Amino acid sequence: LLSLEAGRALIRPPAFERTEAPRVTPQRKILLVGWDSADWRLISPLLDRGLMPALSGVIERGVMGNLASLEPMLSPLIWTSIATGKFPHQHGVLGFVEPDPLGGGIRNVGSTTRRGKALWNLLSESGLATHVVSWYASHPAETIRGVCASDRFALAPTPTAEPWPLPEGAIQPAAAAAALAQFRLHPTEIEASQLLPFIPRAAELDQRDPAVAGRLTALARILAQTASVQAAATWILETQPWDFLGVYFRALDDLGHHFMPFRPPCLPGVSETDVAVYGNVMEAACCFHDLMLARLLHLAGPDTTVIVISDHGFESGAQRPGAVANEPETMSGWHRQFGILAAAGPGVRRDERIYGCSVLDLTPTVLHLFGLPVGRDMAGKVLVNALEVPGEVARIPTWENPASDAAPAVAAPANAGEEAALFEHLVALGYMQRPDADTERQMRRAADEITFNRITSLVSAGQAGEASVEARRLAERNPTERRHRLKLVQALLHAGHLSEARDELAVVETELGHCPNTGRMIAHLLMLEGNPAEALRRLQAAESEAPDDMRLHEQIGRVLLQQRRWRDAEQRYRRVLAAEPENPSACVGLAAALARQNHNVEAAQWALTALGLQHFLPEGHFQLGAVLTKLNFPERAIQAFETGLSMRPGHVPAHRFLARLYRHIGHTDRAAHHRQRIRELDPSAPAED
Amino acid sequence: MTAPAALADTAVVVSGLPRSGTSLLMAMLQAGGVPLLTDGQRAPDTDNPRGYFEFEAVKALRTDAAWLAEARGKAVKIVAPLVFQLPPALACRILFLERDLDEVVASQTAMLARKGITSPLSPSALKAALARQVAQARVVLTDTAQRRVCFVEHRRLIQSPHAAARSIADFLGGGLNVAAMAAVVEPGLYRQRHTQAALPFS
Repeated sequence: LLSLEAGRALIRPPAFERTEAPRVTPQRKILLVGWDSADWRLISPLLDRGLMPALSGVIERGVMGNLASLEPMLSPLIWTSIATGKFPHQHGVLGFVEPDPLGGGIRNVGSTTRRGKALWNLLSESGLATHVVSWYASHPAETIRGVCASDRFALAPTPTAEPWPLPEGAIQPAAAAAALAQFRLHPTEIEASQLLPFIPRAAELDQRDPAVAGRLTALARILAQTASVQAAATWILETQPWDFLGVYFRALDDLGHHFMPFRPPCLPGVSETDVAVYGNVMEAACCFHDLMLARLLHLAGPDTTVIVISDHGFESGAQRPGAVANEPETMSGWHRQFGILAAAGPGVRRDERIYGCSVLDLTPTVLHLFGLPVGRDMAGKVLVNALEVPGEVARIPTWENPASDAAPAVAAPANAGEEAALFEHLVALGYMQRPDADTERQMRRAADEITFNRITSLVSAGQAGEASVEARRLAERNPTERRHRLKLVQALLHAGHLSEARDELAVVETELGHCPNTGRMIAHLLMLEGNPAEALRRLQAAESEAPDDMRLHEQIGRVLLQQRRWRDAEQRYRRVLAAEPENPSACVGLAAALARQNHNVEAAQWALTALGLQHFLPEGHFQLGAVLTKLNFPERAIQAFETGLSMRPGHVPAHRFLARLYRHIGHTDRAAHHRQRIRELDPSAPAED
Repeated sequence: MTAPAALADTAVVVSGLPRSGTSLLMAMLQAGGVPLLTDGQRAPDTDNPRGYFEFEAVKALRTDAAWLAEARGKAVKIVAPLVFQLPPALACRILFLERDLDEVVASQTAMLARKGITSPLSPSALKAALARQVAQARVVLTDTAQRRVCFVEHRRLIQSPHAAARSIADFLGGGLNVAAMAAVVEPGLYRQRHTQAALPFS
């Protein structure tokens, strides 16, 4: 790590919006490796068997932990959050596709969708030799201080290898294009023997069977792309000066959507034969990734700080949601909330497990490791618990430069409304032609999906008020779309607009009929309205129809807490956690139930477990603060409440605790501040208790 | 009119944001001896007294690019949002106009106002959106084996028409009438010049 003094000398955060990027003299190299959908549940048994020695080495000489994902759990959104430290509604990549600003249909999201700078822009501006290969949503490649190969660089759209031109804009600088083009592997170049480690019985299969042919073709395609990405990364490490290399592999996700249903144990609807034939693909894929990682580590050298991450996990056991994983409607249901994080090298603690890491934290952490400041507009934090000497985190208001017309990367307004407005503007000027009705419908659907995901992101980030306004417009545009109507209800509930939520729910039930989701929302509403008895009655009725639905049990737990039935709530949450040990909100519920029964130490442990799983959990910080207060740790309780308030501003109970705690430790001015906040937020509430 | 020999198998694409001087450059090329691919459907008006030099099929470029065969040896105007749709294999030379964005916004707004239309975008939002279009052009429009790209400053075209015409002619392989190209530029048509507000007490 840079020493604190050296870091200060190099950084010197400006008092106002900066006009030039901070520059740093590189004293370390960082290799950031992204494995889409990698999951400890799949990987840990392989580590135990010694089948992933490279990753095992990283863990042994460094740190490991879960990496909490974000909602909505979709790869382009999450990988862009990883690369920006921002929520999806902040960075603007909000779906797989977006309306084409030309009014000509839809297009894949890419670097031109992103609002603002990615990590590679920031490092590049700071003078670091920066390279990035195949990052999700990175096309067209951007001009950086190094090589940028976009995620379309390795795609093979043609059925044969000749001719196989590089997609337009896939490589920057253009001078690197010829070198990298020759390293690409076309799927037709994958030989049968290269498929055998994944499907040892491939030669026995009847390839005239379309399902078999489809799977073998998919495997060859994915292997070819992966090999191309690896080749580009190794070429950079071998031939280019570098301080940072970010390389992204999507194969585990792609393969998971094709082959995870065949992994043992055999799922209902999957044949035993398919399990016998394809059951080893995912394990083999993990070992393949480990081999690639070994090569990258060797080339990067021992003085490199390496970070291996995934955007989310992937269900691989008994909780897999069905026998098919590659249907668009159900694909995201296979994703699990926790991905992986492993890091090692200079500056990183050794052989430690770390907690509370989020995909939002990667960019702030890499910036800090390079001695660069973190933008206050970033939602993530520096993972100081992973660092030997965390040092002081330098901050600047933002890395963006709003005054610049030539904002890098961003070529078209990502916001669907702006997009449509620009198109209308150009049509009015007479330079563009309106698309036909089918194309317009397609574009509208894409725009609505972007809006839907933006609302989800806003709600996740605690901005339910803004979310509810957008959700209202979306629901009005699509009155027959149940998920849009329920998204509005969800946003209204989070924003505390209970009467509006009730009205909307009533209309939805009348117009579109009842469904389990509306039932759960009505119960949630009843609870918020102070009618837990009726909420419980409805939930118990639903429970008889879906006894294994853990979301239902968790909701019942919340009602029981409200009814002060602490023991019953505890049992409910324990049941949820038996089925879902990594459910952070159930951990918080259990902590609350235990604290009310004066099992304070265990309650604190569960609250900490919850926050270890997911740091952005305001209720978790609140419960931790409450139990630490009871355990007489006022300073630590204050820290917990303050953290929770930073995530959920205006939470009156937290202000009340803080007023009391600050008075207790003699900080009367801080106590007075919180009493004042209580009066402002709830004039009818007594400030003293 | 036949194309200079250097352009016989190449399309000359004049691009840029709407109201960035693309029509002016088309007129210059015509004067210089480059045949134009236009259909005359959009008549001259107050905003473009010389005419728009447009070809209606350009607007459907995304779905139908067959007409590009007609553009060989000719200049065709394809505004910025559409130029990204050109097939990578097309042999072409792209002249991309860059103009002060405040001037472009003012010119587009004035053009809409004359039509009695209010833009759905505020001037600042429009400027940001147009800036992104230019940024995309800078990223996407790079030289390839089939394509060469030249970014042309509108201000230079106006202030130094002869030098600018010379550069453009060189980029296109020579053989153009540079003096005739430069003579097309009439500073009087440069109405949306962006000037700094005078300081009240200077």
